[in-house]
Amino acid sequence: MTTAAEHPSVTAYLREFDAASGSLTATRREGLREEIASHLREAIPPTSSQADATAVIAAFGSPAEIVGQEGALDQSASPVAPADESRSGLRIALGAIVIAAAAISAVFFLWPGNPANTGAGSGTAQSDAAPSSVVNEVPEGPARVVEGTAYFEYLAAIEAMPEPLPSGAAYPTGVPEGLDLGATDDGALESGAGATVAHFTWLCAWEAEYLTAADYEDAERLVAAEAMLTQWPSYGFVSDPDGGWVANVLQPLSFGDTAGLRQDLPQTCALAGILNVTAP
Amino acid sequence: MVESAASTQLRRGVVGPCILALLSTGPRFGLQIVRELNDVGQLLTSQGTVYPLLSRLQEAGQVSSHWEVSDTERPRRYYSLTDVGRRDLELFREDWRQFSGSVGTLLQTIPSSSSESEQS
Repeated sequence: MTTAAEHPSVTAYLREFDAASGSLTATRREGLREEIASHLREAIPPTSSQADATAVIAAFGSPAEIVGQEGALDQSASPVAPADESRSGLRIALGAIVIAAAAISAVFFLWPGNPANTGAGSGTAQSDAAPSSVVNEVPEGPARVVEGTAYFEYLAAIEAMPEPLPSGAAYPTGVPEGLDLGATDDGALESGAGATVAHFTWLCAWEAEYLTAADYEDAERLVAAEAMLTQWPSYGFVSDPDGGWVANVLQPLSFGDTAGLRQDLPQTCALAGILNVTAP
Repeated sequence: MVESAASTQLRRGVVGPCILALLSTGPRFGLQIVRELNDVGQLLTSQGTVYPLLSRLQEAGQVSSHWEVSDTERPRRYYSLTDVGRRDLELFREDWRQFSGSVGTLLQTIPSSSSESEQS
């Protein structure tokens, strides 16, 4: 519920949570929302500065992260197993290390470009029928998993996306393996990775759609794709204070210049775990 | 913040027992738990993820909760440790003592890269 004595950032956060939490049961969603609202209203009084509110919300984590955590816990056992399953803490800790090592190894060996990866692994296979978009259920790239926090972040972020994918595109099944471990190719972490994959999947799909439409000289599709791309900066998924993407990719499209978009497409798709994408 | 994958997984595994440990000294509301975990340091990646965890601890019967409403404060949900939670916390405490002791002993036998570079 929005109250008069509520900081606008809290109101906006709760709205975003409502959009992201559609995958939860009503009971779970209401309970979680109640706690989140209580926490944020107390941590961010209505008189807080915008900078203070932003800092609190950054530390709190995105709705997608929280919904992702909720989903990940659904898949796992209780956080601390009952006493008849004693020694749970030790199991958790030891299991975590083993899983971490295994997943990092998997990312290394399955990543395209690694000599050990022949491309025949299940995660890199393409379906027999040629997909109509580079963004499809089984795109080219690292193996994907359908479990863990990042996966549920991904699902929540997809649900919260304001606009759908273009016709013929589909969100890939699962997220690139290793996201929950922070095992990116540069060894960095962090939470929120599942949502990032969803956001860049959407952008990858629409960038590819624009270039395909341009290639086919399909004016209707071109206009639709440009309208979608125009919305991307307003979503605020990516910090781009210099407006580099707008200046180098979006604005040139107004003049029919697709050079920036062609250059950006492989990078955008790679951030979604979709590799070897080339402009049509 | 960049941290190792093993640290991330370890942290995820121990936040639940750490919440039980906090509650063993008395009931607390969510924001209070988050602040105390933060004060200890390095236990939470995102503060909000405490709430799904509290919900699960409650489902597992390890904590209970009740709302407190007063004229001066906002309504708050307070969490308390149950007998089941207290028993599980004691088991974890013993596990952790053995586990951390074993890992510490092992790591002490291996020179760290910083000490190696100091020697060379």
